[in-house]
Amino acid sequence: MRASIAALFLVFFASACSTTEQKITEHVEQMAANPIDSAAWQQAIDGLVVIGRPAARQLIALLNPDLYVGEAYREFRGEQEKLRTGSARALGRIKPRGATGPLRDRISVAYTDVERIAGIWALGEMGFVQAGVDALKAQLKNDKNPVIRLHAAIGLLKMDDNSGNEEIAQALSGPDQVLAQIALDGLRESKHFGIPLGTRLARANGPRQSDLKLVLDEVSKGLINQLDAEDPELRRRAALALGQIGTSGGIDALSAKLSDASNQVRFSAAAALASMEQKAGIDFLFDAIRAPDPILRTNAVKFLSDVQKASGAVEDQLVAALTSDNTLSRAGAAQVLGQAKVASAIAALEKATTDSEAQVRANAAIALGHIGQPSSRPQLEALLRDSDITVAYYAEWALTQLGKS
Amino acid sequence: MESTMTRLRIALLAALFCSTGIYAAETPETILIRQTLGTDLSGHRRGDAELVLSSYDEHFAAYDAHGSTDPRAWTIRYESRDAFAAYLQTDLQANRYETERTIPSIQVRASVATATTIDSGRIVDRQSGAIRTIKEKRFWTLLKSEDRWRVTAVTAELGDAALAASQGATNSEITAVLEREKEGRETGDGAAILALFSEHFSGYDGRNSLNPAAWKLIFSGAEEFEKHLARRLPHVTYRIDRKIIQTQVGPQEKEAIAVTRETVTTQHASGEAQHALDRYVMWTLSKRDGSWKITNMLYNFGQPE
Repeated sequence: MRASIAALFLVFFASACSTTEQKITEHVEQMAANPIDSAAWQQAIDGLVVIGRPAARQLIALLNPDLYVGEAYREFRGEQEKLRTGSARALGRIKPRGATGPLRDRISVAYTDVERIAGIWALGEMGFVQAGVDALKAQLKNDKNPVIRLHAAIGLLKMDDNSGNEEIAQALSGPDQVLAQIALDGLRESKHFGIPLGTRLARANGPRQSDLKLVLDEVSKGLINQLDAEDPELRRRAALALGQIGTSGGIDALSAKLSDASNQVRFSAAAALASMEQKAGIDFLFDAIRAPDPILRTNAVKFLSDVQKASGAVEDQLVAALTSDNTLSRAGAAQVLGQAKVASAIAALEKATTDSEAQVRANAAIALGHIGQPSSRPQLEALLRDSDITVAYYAEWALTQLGKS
Repeated sequence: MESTMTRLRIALLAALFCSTGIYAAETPETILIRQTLGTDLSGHRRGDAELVLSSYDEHFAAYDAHGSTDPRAWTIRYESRDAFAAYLQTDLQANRYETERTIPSIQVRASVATATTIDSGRIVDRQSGAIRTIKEKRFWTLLKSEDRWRVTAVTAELGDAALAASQGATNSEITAVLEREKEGRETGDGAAILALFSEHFSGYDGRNSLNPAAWKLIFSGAEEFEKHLARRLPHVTYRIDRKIIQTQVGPQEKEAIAVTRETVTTQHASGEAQHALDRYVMWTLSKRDGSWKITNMLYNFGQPE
């Protein structure tokens, strides 16, 4: 009985394998037989992506010119181009391990521009891999073709590397409509990775601001969906990016993430809301700054500093917190004001150097040191004689920082 | 006594390594191929015809490039190993070879291989003492059987000379073989195509070059070619506009060379894309069992004008 079941299983497994192989072959032939970007060609790629990793081994092989000999010989360069380009596009969507090396080897000038661009695109889609970053940086630095350089810059952006940002910015500010469109498409595809650059460019003066704003709107819709991603890192990045865009469309979704299972997602959502001056986000961070848990307080300080530096949205609340009844609130607010170098808070911080709690006095001293205004010298010199040696130590350090910044 | 034998063995091994040379990217197969080509050279230098012939396959042919790397200029020099052997006896009796051989490239694909060599040095007339200085480039094809590589063809006197005048397509038998090959392609009849090829044929892609070192081995024997046809023909329909530019058959009618120029277009069963290319193809053929069989097929040599 068991033997029969095992035999049946083997037959089923073998036939499933052969069916998959057959499907892969059919899709590959369809890719070879249709013009690049035609509906049928695209359909073949979609089919291979649906098969996924079982197709990846063959797709990686199709990138290699040495495959096209012997049994697999194809005499037409154009046919190889269709297969290589399509394989790169499919691999960029399947993202199998081990594809970076073969893709990296196909982006040199030995290949057609279409093949190179597909390879570069796929490398970007794979996400950060050092070998991929190095390969794209080499193209960005050395290639004479601005289209290739631009695609390399976009690929790097998708890998969270900003070395190509100026190439993208130039494409968007220049007269070449083709390059500008590639840059816009690249920013759209880069999702949260492209937001810091996209928002910076959208806020500056330039010829394509309305196009950029449309792209940001489109990306922000995707980011709202990304807030529900399984991977907490994707949720965290989506929350931060929505905060950078500052679109009101994401407020409800971000508010819902204030109770996310992940600490980092909650804080990122709060920071995003705070930068949009949303009370829920600001309250969340100020509640956390006086939490008994030091990890929560550390996160609160970090995120409040980021919000303050990026938008200045919590400045008044921070200054007000220096006079709070809660020691942790006063100490945390001093820390954030220092990290964000809020010059307008100097008077309040100088006053905090006389706080009854040593922790607050120490943080105020450090903050004044970060801001570095020479006029704070008398208050800091007074702290040199503080009864708490930690306060005196930081006062001495802060005095060395005055006038530096 | 034993230590003397050991020393002798070590000396012999050292001599073998020195004579063969060890090169970067060497593989066991390339070492064996160097040995085969080294044996040919040693035989010439020692005046030992038997040693030379031990490197040659029983189905051997030689071509004369007449100082050109363009196969359109090539002619048949020896149609068989016997014809070569007869020449070799006379040659080695008359001349002393003081030559060296470098091997710039070796390419191996399963049981077939190609190599290019440059022979340099001098050939001394044993009787008169007259010296002829040589520097000769050659292109070799080899076949591995019973763990040994043997030379199946050599094209001698390669160079950069201008193309010789075409000799025209005069042989109807060769023309018929090439027409049948074209028909087989166009009708998708793999068996008909395969019947025209010898078991150990070699296929190359010339990659639009006239440099034999750049030619890429794409088929190693009929078995691999059969698999290719089985995989390719169901998906692609060929249309070939083939012009047979020249045919040349040896006096014993055992060996032939042909050159075709053709436009190949395809239609795919799975889509609308059409692919096309223009190419020159060189074919070598042998008649061993009463019918002509293709022994070498070189696609895309040179740059079509």
